[in-house]
Amino acid sequence: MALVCFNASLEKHAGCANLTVAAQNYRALLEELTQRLPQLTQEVLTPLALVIDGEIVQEPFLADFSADAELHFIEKIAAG
Amino acid sequence: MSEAREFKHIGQRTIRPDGFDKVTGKANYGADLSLPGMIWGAILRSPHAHANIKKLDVSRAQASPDVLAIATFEDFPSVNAAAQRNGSQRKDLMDTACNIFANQKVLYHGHAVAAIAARSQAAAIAALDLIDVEYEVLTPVLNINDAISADAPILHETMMTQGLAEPATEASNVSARMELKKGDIEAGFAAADVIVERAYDTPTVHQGYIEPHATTVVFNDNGPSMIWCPTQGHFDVRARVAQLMNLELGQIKVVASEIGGGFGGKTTVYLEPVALILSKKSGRPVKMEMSRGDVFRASGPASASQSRIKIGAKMDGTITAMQATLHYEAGAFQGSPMGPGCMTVFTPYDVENLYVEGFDVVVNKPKVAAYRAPGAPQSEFAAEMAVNELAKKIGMDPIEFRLKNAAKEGTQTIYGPKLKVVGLVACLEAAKSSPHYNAPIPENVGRGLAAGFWFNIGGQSSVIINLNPDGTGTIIEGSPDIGGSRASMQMMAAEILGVAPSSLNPIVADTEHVAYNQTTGGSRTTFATGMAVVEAAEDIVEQLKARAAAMWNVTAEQVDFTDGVAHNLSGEDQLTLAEICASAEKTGGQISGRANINARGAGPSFAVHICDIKVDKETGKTDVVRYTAIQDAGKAIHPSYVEGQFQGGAVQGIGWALNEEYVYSKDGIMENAGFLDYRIPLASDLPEIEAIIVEVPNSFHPFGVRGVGETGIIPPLAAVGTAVAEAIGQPISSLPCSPPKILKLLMAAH
Amino acid sequence: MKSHISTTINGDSVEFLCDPSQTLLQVLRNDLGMTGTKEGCGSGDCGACSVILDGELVCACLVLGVEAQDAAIETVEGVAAHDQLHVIQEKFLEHAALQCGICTPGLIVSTKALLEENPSPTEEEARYFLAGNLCRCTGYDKIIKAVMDAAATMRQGA
Repeated sequence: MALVCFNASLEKHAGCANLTVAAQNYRALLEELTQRLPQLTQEVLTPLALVIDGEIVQEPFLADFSADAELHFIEKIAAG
Repeated sequence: MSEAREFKHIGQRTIRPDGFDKVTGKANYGADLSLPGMIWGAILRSPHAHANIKKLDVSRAQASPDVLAIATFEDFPSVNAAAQRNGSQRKDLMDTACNIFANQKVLYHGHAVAAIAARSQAAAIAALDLIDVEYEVLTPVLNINDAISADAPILHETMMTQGLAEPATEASNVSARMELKKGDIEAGFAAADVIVERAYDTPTVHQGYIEPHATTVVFNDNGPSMIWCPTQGHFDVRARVAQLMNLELGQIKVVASEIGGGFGGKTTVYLEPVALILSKKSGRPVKMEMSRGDVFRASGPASASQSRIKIGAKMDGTITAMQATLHYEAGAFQGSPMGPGCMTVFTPYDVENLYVEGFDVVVNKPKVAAYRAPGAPQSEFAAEMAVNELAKKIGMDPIEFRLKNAAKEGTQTIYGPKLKVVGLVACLEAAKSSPHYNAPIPENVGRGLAAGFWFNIGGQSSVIINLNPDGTGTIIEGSPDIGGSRASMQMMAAEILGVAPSSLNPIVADTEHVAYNQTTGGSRTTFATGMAVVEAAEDIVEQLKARAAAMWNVTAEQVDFTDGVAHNLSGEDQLTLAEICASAEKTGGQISGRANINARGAGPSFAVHICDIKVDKETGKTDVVRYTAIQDAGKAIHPSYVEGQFQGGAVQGIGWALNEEYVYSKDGIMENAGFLDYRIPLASDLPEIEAIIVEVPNSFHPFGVRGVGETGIIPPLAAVGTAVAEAIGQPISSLPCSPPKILKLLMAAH
Repeated sequence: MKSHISTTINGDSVEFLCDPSQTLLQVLRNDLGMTGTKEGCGSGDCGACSVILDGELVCACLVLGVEAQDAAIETVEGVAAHDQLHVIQEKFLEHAALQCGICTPGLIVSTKALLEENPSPTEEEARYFLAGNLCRCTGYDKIIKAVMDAAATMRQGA
């Protein structure tokens, strides 16, 4: 099971600091999270980048990950 | 990839392919295009920082025979409709529209109110007097403290603070709050032997690119309209203008001119939509240029900030807790880089207990834009100053103190992920053994050192490589070349294809000739567009093998391609790339390689800078007497341009730390909107900037590249600040360390 | 009422009409199509429009077009001889002394003026002479190295 960790801002929506998910790709992850945590809506999650085992994926739509991955949602990094 | 890998072209200091045109004056920049029948646009700007527009009457201008077109906010009728189509971007688009033309309210000195087109620039400027505007002047909000005070005038009646524990119920000048945490901050401070707590502030500064914004636009009803402009991202200019004008992307072609500096400031639109409206109404090509004053007053500077930092450590040098409260000015519309500021502030440190809170605050100043590592210089300045003070308090060398707490592979960042392999420790070690750090500190000189962190990004890049029948070729990319990136693209393609870099001509194509490319920024171009170049070149190698195989009547698997030559593994035959190209008509037509990627795996870049400063105690004048910039490049494709990024970033940071700031009157009038009074560093202000390239490869890039453009502006603020503090024997908490401020500190000490 | 001006630019006789209020920079860029000379500020602070007027280094934005009457003007377009770059231009490329390149034409012209006046400048003299040419990309380091190398090379060639 992959581990999803929420930062302090997301924790308010999620109601927990982390949880494990069965999903192994981004689309399944969104579906699972929004179902299990109704406060965590698509609107909250889709603007964010996904960090998979330390690698920041700015456009994670097609991303998949291993069953023991550690996942974080973070604000997309702006360009300068 | 292995560190020992030998390269033929990568790592060389080649002559840039666009260099000849740039040293001879042939290269065409934003203001260099004129067209037959072209007329000029000019913008009427607000003389007030904060006012309601009671009346905007263009009838006198309309009646003038000199005036060929007029534009105001009313010419964006589609903004609401377009915004509805793009739900999540709605607010952002509306803000962009209201920034380009004031919508019933002006929010900063210089805010555009209306535009006029006439036959000459002088006639257009003169005709602005024919526009009658009546203002109801409001009290301006000019800094963070004023903006968050209980009785502050509210800039936007509908703005509610996002991110509060309880949903906001009243309008506020604070658009958003962000909170990040790790561990137990209270326990962390309880475990500390020594604590430093201090407040810092930084001023509004400008990117200071030497080329003002300019554009030439031709509206075309029967084909794509043409926009010529200097931009870091012409595809995003196209998207923005399309949204604002309710056009399809295919109805606009944006040609990126050469760009005279950007540093993040040329990532949005100001003149382009206005010129398009004027061109549409007049039926003529329209050219517009910002004056230098306009650039300062009405393009996007970088956020002023206020930071409160608290750091605790044990006497052995272990940092136990770090806490920050960060306020960023967004200018007139929400959207400061507060988020990345919060995420980067403590990232150079591997510390158990962290807590960061950030606020995005609107004020009556121009809407901020990105500036090199947006948000990080402000917050990391504060953190690094406090770290240096703490190191001094417990009697540790600032490098040893940082080494003891340095972020490394596996460090859990406050924003979530664990770091991969990073080069901070390598940079600190390089600093420790550098000639500069080992040189004695001269009399009356202070020395400061600071670290910096920036994420770097990847993103979308599209590249086509076409080979000619004689084996030369063209690299068609879509990333505006802001500092020599064409040279890097050439070298990376040459490395894969085994040909001379100069045989491949890189061009930055317009929006019609190559697929979408994300903006040049986020230190992404050499990394991501470079990755696309490599992939396109590899695509070509596969085709070359197949073509050689066809010539020899063998399978492609029986062909090896090394250093530009195909070898028949089942015989003695060889064909050079040029020979394969020459026979391409016989083997299936000409050869092109292509890559359209969304690059992942950008590697963060850390830097460490060392600065020696001498202070004249009678005048408060500062002199940088020695400076060294050390940074992890992963792999330097073209070392000269990598050093150039380090040096340029360092000097922008030095300017930020020592002299640069927006000066406002109490009415919110910017009083130093020119290079004479907004003083960026001159050649005579500076010593040599020693650049040391550290290479800790990024395993996600075929050559190990990490972006290098942004990190270099982060460390100078605290390296300089600390050097000044050491030189005068007084703590520094406010930038810039301009002579009047230093003198005041010196006098207060006596 | 426009004035008719006869002048010499990079050795060519040139005639143009200009308003009394037009600057030499505006004439060069907008009327003569010589856009190699750049505008960064229009107030003489940045040096992007540096040209040599009768042997003197000036900001073209601070000179009126009418002042060009009977003058000899040298712009960046006249520094290279056809496709043969001047040593200064070669050294700027060799040392990677430009990033965006917008300040480069002005710096090339100013460096030419410097080395004509002082073929053996110290680094400090070069830094002070070029203090009127702003560059925001490079931090000046590679520019100064290019200038010093160009000076040394030109001395050897002389």
